[in-house]
Amino acid sequence: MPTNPDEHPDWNSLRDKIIGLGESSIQKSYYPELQKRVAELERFRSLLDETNDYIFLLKIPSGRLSDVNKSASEQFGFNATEMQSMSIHDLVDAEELEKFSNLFNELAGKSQDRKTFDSVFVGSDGNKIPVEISASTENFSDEFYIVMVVRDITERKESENEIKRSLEEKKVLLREIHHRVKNNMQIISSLLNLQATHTNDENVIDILMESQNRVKSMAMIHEKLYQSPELARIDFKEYISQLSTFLRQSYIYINNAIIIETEVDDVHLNIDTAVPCGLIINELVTNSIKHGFPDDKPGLIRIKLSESCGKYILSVKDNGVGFPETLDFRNTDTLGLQLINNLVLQLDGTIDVIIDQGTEFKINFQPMEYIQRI
Amino acid sequence: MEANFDLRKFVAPEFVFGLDARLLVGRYLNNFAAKKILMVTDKGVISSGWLDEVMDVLESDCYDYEIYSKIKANPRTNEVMAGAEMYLEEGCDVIVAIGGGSPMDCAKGIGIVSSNNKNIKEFEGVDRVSLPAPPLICIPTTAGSSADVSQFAIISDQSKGKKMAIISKKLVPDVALIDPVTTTSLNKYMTIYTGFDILSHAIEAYVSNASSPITDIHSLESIKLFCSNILPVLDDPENIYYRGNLMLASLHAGLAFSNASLGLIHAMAHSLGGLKDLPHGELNALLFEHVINYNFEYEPERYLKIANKMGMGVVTDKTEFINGIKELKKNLGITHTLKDKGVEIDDIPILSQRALNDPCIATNPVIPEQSDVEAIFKNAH
Repeated sequence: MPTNPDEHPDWNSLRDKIIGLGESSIQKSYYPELQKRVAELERFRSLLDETNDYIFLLKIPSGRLSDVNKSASEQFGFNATEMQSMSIHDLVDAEELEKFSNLFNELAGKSQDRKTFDSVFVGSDGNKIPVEISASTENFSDEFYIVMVVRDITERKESENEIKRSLEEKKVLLREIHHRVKNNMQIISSLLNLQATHTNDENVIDILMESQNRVKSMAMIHEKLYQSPELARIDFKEYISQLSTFLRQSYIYINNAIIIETEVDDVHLNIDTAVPCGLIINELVTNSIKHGFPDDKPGLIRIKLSESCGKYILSVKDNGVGFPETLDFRNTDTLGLQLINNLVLQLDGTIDVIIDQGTEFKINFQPMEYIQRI
Repeated sequence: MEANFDLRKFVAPEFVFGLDARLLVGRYLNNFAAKKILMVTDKGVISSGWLDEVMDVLESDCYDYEIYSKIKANPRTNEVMAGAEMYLEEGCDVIVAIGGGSPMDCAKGIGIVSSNNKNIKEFEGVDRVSLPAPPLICIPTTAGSSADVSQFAIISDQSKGKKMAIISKKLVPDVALIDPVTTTSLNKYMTIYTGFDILSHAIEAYVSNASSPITDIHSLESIKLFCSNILPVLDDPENIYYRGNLMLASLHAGLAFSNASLGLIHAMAHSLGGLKDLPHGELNALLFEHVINYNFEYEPERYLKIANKMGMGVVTDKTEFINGIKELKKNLGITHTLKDKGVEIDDIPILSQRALNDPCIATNPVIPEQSDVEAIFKNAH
C-alpha cells in the first residue's frame, strides 16, 4: 500500500532537500573553506612577518624578488610595488655580488639544495649589515626559487671581535708576565753568581752554582713560554737542547770532554709539567757531569724523551763510572736526589735506575692537567 | 520550421522562487561565510518596509552590515564607484541587493569594481570583466528587470549622457531569492511599466538570433503569463496569485533574455534613457510596436506565435498583430508618445547613432541602418 508522504516526516525532509530547501542544499560553496584557508594564510604570513630575520623568496638565476616578509621590507625600505622591480643584488654589498651570482648559477636547476654562508647586506640607511644566510631551493610551477633567510649578525660579530680583542690583550699580558718572571729569575741567578764571586769556599761556590742553574733552567721555561705562539705550552725538544748546551757550558770547567746528545720526540708540555721535568733533567745531567766522569774522563750523556699514547718516558743515561750500588737513590740526603724524587712525585711518575756500563735514570710520567689555582 | 541545434549556452544563478523566499537570506549568508554585508537598496525600497524584514533576519543572526542606498533610477557610474568605495572601506565580503533593476544593477557594478579595482567604465561591452565579483544575493522587489538572474548591468555614464551596457557571465548573481510578496506594494504605474519590461524581454529574446529551444520555452511562457495577469492585477493589486504569476513571468523572461539577449527595443531604450534619464520600462512601452513593425518581416512566424501566446487568437499578419499590441497598450492606459516625454526631433540622429552602438543590436533579427532606426524613432515620436 503506498504511504502518504505527508505522514512520513523523513520523506518530507528528504523532499525539501531534493527541492533545494535544506540548510545545506546549495549547489557549491567554497567560501567557508576559502575563508578558513585565507585565515590560515594570514596567520602564517604573520608568522613570517613577526620574525626578526629577513625572509626573501627569489627567482633564480635572476635573483628577482618574488616575496619578502615585513622585517625585510622595513629594513631595506621598500614597499610591495617597488619590490616587484627589485632583485636581491640591489640589497647586497657590492663586494659580495659575485658570490651571489655564483651561488644562483650553482643552485639553478637543483630541486632540493641548501647552503649556509655569511655575507654583507646594505640597509636603507646605507649601513653595512653583516648577515648569516640560509638559502634553500624550491620549485614552484617549474620555476626555480630560493627561500633565503637572512639573519643580522651585527651583534654576534661585535661580540666575536670583542672576544678576540680581549683574548689578544690577555695574551700580551701573559707574555709580559712570563717575561718578567724570567727576568726576575735571571736577576736571582745573577745574584747567586755575584755571591759566588765573594767566597773562596769551593763547597759554597758549588752550592750557589747548582742553585743558579736550577733557577736558570726554570727561567728558560718562562722564556720559552712567552716566545711560544700559544703561550700555554712549550716546545720541549728545543728546551732540552738549549738546557743541555747551557749545562755543558756551565760545567765545562769541571770536564770539557763530555758530550751531551739529545733524542727528543716532538713534544709540547705545559708549564706544570715542563718545570719539574726541566729541573729533573737539570739535576740528572749535573749529577752525571759532576760524578760520572772523574779525572776528566771523556763521556757521553744522552737525554731521551719519547711519547707514546699520551705517556712519556724520560731517560738520562751516561757511560760513566756508574751510580754507586751501595747508595739508595730514593733514600739519600743529597739535595739533588731528594729534589728528583720530589719532582717525580710531583709529576705523579715513577723513576728507575739502571746501572749497566754507566747509569740510566728512567722516568715514566704523564703530562699534568692544568690546575686552576685562582 | 527548421530545428535549431546550433551551439547554445544557458547560464542561470541558483534561485529560489516562492512566497517568503526573501527570508532565506540568512541561510545563504551563512553559506558564503559572510562577515560583513553591504546591503544595496534605494529609498523606495526602504520606505516600502521590505528592507526592515531582511535586516531583522540579519540582526537575529548577528551579521554586521552597512546600507548603501544613494541610488536613483537609472544608476550612475559615480553611484557605483561610491558604493564600491564603501564596500572596500568597510571591509565587506558579501553584497545583498534588494530592490528593482536600479539597485541590483548598481550592486553588480559595485561587485566587479571592488574585485577588479578598476573604474566601472572600463567594463563597458561584452566579456570585459576579468575577475568575478564577491558573492551577490539578489532579492528583486519588482516584476520586470530580472537583473537578479541576468548577465546584464546597465549603468548611466552622465559625463557622456549615455547608458553603458555591461554584459558578462560574471555579472550573473550567485543567488536570487525571488519572492512575489515583495511586489504587492508596487503602485499601478510601477506595475505597468516594470511589467512592460517583462514583455519586451520575452519578445526580444524569442525573436533574438541567439535564441535556443530552451530560451524559447521561457520566452513563450513569460508572454502567456504576463498577458493573462497584467490587466487583472491592476484591479486587484494585492492579489498574490496575479502578483506571483507576474513575478514568474519576469523570471521566465529573465532566464530567456539573459541567455538569448535582446534587440532593437532595448538598444533604443538604452539610448533614450542615457540622453533623457527617462524610466526604462516606460520607454520600452513607447517604442514597442514601432520596433516590431520594423522587425516583423525578418521573423514573421515567431511574431505570429507571440501574438498567439498574447491571447490574440489566430493572427495572420503584421497589421493584426500591431493592432493587438495597440489594444493592450490602450487597456493599460499607455497612450502617450516620446514627444510627450520631452524627446525632440533633433535628438533622433544622435539617439539612433547610439542605439546602433548598443550590444543589444547584435542579436536583433536584422542589423538595421541608421536611417531605419531614425524612422522608427520618428514613428514613435
